[in-house]
Amino acid sequence: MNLIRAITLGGAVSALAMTATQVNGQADVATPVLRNGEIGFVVSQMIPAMADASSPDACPEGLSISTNELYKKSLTPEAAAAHDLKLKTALDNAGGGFGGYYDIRTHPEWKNPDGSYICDNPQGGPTDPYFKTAVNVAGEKVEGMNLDGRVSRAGKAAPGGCPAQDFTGINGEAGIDNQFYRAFACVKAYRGEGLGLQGFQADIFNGSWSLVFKLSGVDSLRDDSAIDVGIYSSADSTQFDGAGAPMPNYTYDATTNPRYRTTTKGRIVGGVLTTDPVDLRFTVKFNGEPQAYEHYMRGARFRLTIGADGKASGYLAGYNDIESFYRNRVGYKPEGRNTSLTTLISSLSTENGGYTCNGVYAALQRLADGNRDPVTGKCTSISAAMKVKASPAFVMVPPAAAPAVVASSGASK
Amino acid sequence: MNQSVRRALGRGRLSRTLLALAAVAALAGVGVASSGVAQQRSPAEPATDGAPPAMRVLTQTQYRQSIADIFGADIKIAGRFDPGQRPLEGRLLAIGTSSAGISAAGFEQFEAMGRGIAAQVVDAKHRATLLPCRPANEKEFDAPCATQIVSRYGPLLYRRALAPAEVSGLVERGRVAQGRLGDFYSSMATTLSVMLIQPDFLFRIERVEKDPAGGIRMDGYSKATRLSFLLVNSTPDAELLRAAGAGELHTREGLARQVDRLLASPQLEQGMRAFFWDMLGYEQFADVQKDPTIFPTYTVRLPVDAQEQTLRTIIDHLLVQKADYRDLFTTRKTFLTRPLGSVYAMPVATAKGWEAAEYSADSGRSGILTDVSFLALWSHPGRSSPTIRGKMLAEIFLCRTVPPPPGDVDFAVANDVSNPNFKTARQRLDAHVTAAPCKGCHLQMDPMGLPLEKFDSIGVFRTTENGAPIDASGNLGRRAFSDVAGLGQAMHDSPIVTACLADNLYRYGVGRNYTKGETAWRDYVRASFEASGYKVPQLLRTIATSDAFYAVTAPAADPLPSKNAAPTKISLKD
Repeated sequence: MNLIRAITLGGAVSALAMTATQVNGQADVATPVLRNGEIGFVVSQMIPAMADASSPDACPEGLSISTNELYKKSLTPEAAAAHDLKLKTALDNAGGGFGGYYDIRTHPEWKNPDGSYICDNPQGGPTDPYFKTAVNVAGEKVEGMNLDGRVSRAGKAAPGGCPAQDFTGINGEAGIDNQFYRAFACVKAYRGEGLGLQGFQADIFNGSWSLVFKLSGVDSLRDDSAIDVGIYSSADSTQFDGAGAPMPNYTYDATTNPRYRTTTKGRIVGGVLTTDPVDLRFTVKFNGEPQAYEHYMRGARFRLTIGADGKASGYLAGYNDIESFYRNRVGYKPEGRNTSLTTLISSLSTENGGYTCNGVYAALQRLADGNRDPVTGKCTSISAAMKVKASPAFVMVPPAAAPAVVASSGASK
Repeated sequence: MNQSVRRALGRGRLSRTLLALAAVAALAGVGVASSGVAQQRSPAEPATDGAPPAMRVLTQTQYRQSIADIFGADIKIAGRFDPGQRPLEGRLLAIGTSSAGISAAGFEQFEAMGRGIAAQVVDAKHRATLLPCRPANEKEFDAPCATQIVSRYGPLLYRRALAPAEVSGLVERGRVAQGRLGDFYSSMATTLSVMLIQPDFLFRIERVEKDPAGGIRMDGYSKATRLSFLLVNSTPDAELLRAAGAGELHTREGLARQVDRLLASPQLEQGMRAFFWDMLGYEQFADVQKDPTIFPTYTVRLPVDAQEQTLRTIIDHLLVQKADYRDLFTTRKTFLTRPLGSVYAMPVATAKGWEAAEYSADSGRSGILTDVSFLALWSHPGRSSPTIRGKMLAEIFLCRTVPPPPGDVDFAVANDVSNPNFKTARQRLDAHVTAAPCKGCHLQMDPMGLPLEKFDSIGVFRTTENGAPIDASGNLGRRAFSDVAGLGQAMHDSPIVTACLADNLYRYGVGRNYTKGETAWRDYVRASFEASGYKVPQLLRTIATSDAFYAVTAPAADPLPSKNAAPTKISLKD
């Protein structure tokens, strides 16, 4: 099989497979999907696998609450009303903008006993007693993949992991590892139109970030026992057509940053691509911010069904590194970030999203089920899945800016 | 002489004498002119009577290019231009400029644009570089400086030397403006804006003079203008105006020197872009719409890139590679951007901008007929059209005139794409043309358009329509083929295609169709084109250095006679 390599231009490109299908409403368009044993994809949808399977019964005690709501529970009704007025005044004074939230960082509800900001230091104070996580419900089906090949019960740890109660999958598959779902199923931001869910997708759509991958050494998109897979962040915005579908066969450049170039192996069985677990880092942008956040998923693997038109859909599943996830997606404190701005974002996000930083952090720690630290005995990652859609694209892979870091294939749980 | 020459020369319309002349031309040895264009030792060109001098309104591109060349490319031009007129016979916008006027609304736009341009020329950012002098006192009118300014830009804008009275008249306008505005630069902006709305600028006014050899001839400046707009689509530059003023364009050597200079200049590309833009009908992209529910990938940028793709391909092929014109119908070489790569399903390494590319052998594409620009421009909003494509192929590349359909035609069957009995366009057209009134014209169009059916309304390759396989066979005249490659090869081999280009280029340059008295000259140009190996630069040289290109008959009534007054001595070197 060929190694991952850049598509070379100028030479004749022979189509190994062509199919007539419906592409973006253009009936009968012949779409070559595999050329010279290679096919690239651009991810056009990536959403945490949460919402579709979310049962109203999964949160019998209701949803989690925000920092402000939590604070008001310690106040008398009169004092709570005064607090609301104070908050409204602060927002009004800031023109209804972010400034109000920035100001309230100095308020007591946002501080730990030592005075530190709770999203910076989620362990610096008492835990959030109102933070809710999902319970297993009979008959409920949860999206995701069985990452460890086991059907785990609460209280019994898998090798290298920590005790976790698995779920039943959409298609009845047992042993679904998606403790991330359990951690966030009762958080408003991760339900329905919540930003935790839709933000990923919205920011792909508005061109903020892109993820591409490329299969090489492919003899057939139906069955091939050994293929090479490259997964890359891309600085090129994902291109969409007037109907919101990805532009077919657009060309994207893989990043030259070796940190965000990952290779692994895979196979296609019956049109379903499954890749070997690999520790995967890719960059994500949110809220129109210029700086990227890093998403770090341990033991990540694709399971995608490739259609006759070359479009793929399925999961990217693995174990989200909880410190990385918290730092990037909850505390908004990736290295080098502007403190004032990121503090503003984190406080805004908790208020809009209906959670507290300390509540989330504690849940991640409690539900972590992967990459157990042999020294502390604590797990450092949490099983998760992203729903993914991808479309055929040309992926150009320029040389890496520095010697590529060889990603560890078969990353342990 | 090969068979294609015989066919090209008009199916017996040409005399034996001319055939012999063409043969001589084809066999003649060649030299190389200073332009690098092969200079053939051809026999004397046939004499022509020419036609009356023309008065042609500037096209949008000519206006813009002229302003850029005279004042600089950073001068912004904001305004709308009257749409061009594309006559049924000849169908070139360039021919339409000879009969088009300027509408009232169009003149308002010219006036506004002129004021905007003039204001920029004298503003603080540009005056130091664009004006040849500074007034001693901005609050007082400086006649000598005003004279310098008028003298510098008058010839460039009017494309001729100005008579002393014209210069003094314009200076006087400045003086009046100064009295009202109180500022020298404002007064000069007024003067320049006046010049920018004069017929002398907005129209290419051809003038005649007495020919010392007898009769009349086009004057030197008019020759310079005709030559300049043919080759570079802009106003004559200072050197060309100098040569015109010195009478050099009336000599064979002097004319050749200027032609070769322009053929060797980088501006030749803009001239040829303008010609092919006109010939290919690209102004009609402004009216092209695609059904967004069917073709959501037809973005705003796609037609822009598509036009540029074909023009780049043509320019590279004809001017850079100096290749055979006919190969444009078979070449797989092209240029792409990433948005175009999406339509062609081809990778494009260059993230922003253009790169050379090549259609793969199995892509189903070859030649500019399979470019998105042709396929998308000549289609319906929601579906392809073999008839429209065939019609435009015939008109653009074969110089045929296809009449519009009669008013009482029933298009129901042809337009019903949902009829399960007629899944493909071929099937629908077969049903449609069974009606006798339709058949005659459709036979002229459909067989050339049907091979392009493997491309949908925006030019994306397909193999089926409504699930039914597409039969891409067709014919060009008696030559039948099974696919679009066959169509391209038939176009490549057709002498009508090359004759049409030669005809178009000449008609583009003179702004009219051939006259009856130019038949021998037309055949001579066609034969010369063949003798050159179908090299367009050589064709340009043949036309631009000929007597025929500048030949004029007496105008019926001279609306703007040549200035009798002796022109002022004007330096064009400022």
